[in-house]
Amino acid sequence: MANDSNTLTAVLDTLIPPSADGRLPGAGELGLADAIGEALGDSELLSQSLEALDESARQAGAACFAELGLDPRSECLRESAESNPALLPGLIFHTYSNYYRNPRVLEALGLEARPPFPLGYTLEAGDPTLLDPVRRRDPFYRKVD
Amino acid sequence: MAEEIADVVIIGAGAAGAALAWSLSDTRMRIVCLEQGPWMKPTDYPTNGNDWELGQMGEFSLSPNTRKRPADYPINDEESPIAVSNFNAVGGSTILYAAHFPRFHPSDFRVRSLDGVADDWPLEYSDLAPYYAINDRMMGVAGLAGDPAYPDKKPPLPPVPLGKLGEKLARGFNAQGWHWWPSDSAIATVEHEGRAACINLGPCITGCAQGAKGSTDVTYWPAALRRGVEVRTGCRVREIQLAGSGLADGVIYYDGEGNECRQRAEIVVLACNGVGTPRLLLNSASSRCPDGLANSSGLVGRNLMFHPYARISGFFDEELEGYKGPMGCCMISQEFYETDTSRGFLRGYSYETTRGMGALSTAFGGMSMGRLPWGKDHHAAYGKLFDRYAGMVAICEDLPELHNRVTLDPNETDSNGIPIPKLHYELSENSRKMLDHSVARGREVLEAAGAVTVESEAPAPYAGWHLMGTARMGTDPEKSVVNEWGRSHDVRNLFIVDGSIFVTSAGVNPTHTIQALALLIADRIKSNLEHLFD
Repeated sequence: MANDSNTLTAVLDTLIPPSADGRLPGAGELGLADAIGEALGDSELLSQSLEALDESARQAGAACFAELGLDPRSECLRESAESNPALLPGLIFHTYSNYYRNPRVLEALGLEARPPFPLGYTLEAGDPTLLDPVRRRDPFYRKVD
Repeated sequence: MAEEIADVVIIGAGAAGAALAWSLSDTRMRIVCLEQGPWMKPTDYPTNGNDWELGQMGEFSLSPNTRKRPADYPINDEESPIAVSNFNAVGGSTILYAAHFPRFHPSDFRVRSLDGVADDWPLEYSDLAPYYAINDRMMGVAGLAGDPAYPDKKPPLPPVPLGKLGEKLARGFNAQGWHWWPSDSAIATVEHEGRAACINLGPCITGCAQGAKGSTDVTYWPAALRRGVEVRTGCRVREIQLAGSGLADGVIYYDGEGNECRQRAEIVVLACNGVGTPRLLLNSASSRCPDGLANSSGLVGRNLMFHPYARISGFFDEELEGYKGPMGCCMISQEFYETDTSRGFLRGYSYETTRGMGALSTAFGGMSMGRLPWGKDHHAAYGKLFDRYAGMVAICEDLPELHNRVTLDPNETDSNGIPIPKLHYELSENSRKMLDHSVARGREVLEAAGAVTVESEAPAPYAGWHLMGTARMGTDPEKSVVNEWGRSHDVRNLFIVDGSIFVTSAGVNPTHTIQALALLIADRIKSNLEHLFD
C-alpha cells in the first residue's frame, strides 16, 4: 500500500507537475493520493495499474515509477493508458477536482481560499459613458398596429 | 368526515403557480398548491461550502436525469438534440435559473402578421404591460430605463454591475456599432421587500444562498402564504379527474410517503411547465377523452419549443474578474432580434453575455474543449483559460412545429409509476441558420473586444431551460388548447398558466412573460368569477 501511495503520488505529479516558476505546487505534493485513491473506488484495479507503471519503470532501468523524470513518467503513463483506457479519465477527473479546490492552489492563483458565501465579492459598476452611443440610437423595436 | 373541496387547486409551485396563487389569494378563496418538490434551504446551496463548484455536477445539476433527487422525474430526451434543464421544488426552475428577466417585444405577439409564419397571439404586448410592471416589483427586477430595443419600461432596482468583464464586452459591441444594454435581472441589487442585496456570489444557477435572486420561494410564496394559501410539498399529481358534468372534479396525487390521495376542487390550474403540463394532460386520458384531457384539438404536447442556444466563448490575454458577479446577468444585445430577411432566416435572437468560472469549472471547461492537457504543458494552458474568459449565449427564437412534441414514454415510469415524458424534437432549418449567424457575429464582437481565441458550440446540448408551446392559447378551439385567458376550451374550470400556452417563443428568456400571463389569467378569473364556467 505504501508503494501504491508513492506511485500514485508520482502519477499525480505527472498529471499536474509543479509549475516551472514554483508558484503552483504539483498535485503530488498536496497529500491528495489517499483521497483520490478512495474516490477511484476499485482499489484492486488501481493497485494493478500502479504496479504496471512500476514494472514499466523497472524495464526502463529505474527502481520504480516515482524514480523516473517527468518526461519518461508521462510516456509511461500514456503507454499504460493505451492498454487500460479506463485509467486516465477517472484519474484526471479526481485529480483536477481535488487540485483546483485545494487552498494552496487557490491562493497561488490569486483567489481567496473560501466559498463565495457569505462574504461575496465586490464588483465595479463600470463606466456609464460606455452606453452613450446606444442611448443616442432611436428606438428600433418593430412597431405593431 | 366530508371530503374537503378546495376552491382552487394549483399543480406546481414554480414561477407561474406562485404568481397566480398570490394574485388569487386576495379573494380569500381556499387555495391549495400541490408541489412534488420540497422547500429549499438557502444553507444547502453549494456556494455555502468549499465544494461549491462540484454541486452543479451532482444534486444541483440542471438536468433531472443527472440530479435524480426524489422530487425529480426522468425525461426521455433520446430523440432530442436539446436536453431539459429544470428543477422541482417550491420555486420550481427559478431556484436554479440565471434570473435573466427580459420582456417579450410587441412584435413577438404578431409573428404571423409581420413575418407570415407561426401564429399571432390572442393578446398584445399592451395587454401584458401592466402585469410585467407588477411582476417587476414582486420579483425585484434590476435594470436600466431607456433601452431603445423596447417600449418604455422602468425596472425598479438599479442594474447589476458590469464589472471589468462587462466593460470589456461593451467596448466590443460599441466597436461594432451594435446594441447592448444592462440586463433586466430578477436580482435584488439593493435590499428589496425583505430580501438582502446581491453580493456577487457568482453561480446563480446553483441557487442563491444570499436570497437576493428572485426565485418564487422568496418572492411570491411568502406573500401568498401570509394570505392563507396552502402549499403541500412532496405531492406528485398523477391525473386530473372529470366529473359527470364535464368539469374537472379534482386531482389524484401521491404524497411524500407514496400514498394515493385525492384533492377535489372547483377550479384546477396547471402550472407544471411545457413538459410537465402535457404529460399530466395526456396521462389524464379516460373513456371520455381517450387522447388526453383538454385535447379535442389534438395539440396537447405538440409544438414544443425550446430556445436553441449557441455558446460563444472568448479568451482574452488579461484577467477579467469573471468569477465575480451573477454569471448569467450582465448585458443583453438585441442587434439581431427583429426579422431582417437579408440574413437568410426569419425572426431573430438575443445575445446574453456570460461571466467567467471558478478554478475547478475552468479546468473542466478547458478539458471538455480539448484545451487543457495534463503533463508539463498543463499550467501554461490553464493560465490562458483561468479568469481570461468572457462570452455570450445566443438565444434563438424557435418556431412552433407540429412534429416537435411531448408524448408519454410507453416503457418507462417515475418513482410513482407514472409514465415519464418523452421528447421528439428536431432543429428547424430556420433555427440552424439563425444559430450559424449568431456564432459568426458573436465571433466578430468577441474579437472586436480583444479575444485572442474564440470557441463555439451550437446548439448547446444541455440548454433546454425554456419549455413552451405544448398547450397553446388561441381563440379557435380547433387550433388551440386554451383560450386567450388560459381556460381550457374543453374543460371550463381547467386553466393552464405555464409556458405551455405560448403561441411563439420570442428570442428571450420566458419567465417574465410566463408570470405576467399568470397574473393576467388570475385577474380574468377574478373578474369573471360569477360566470367562470359559462
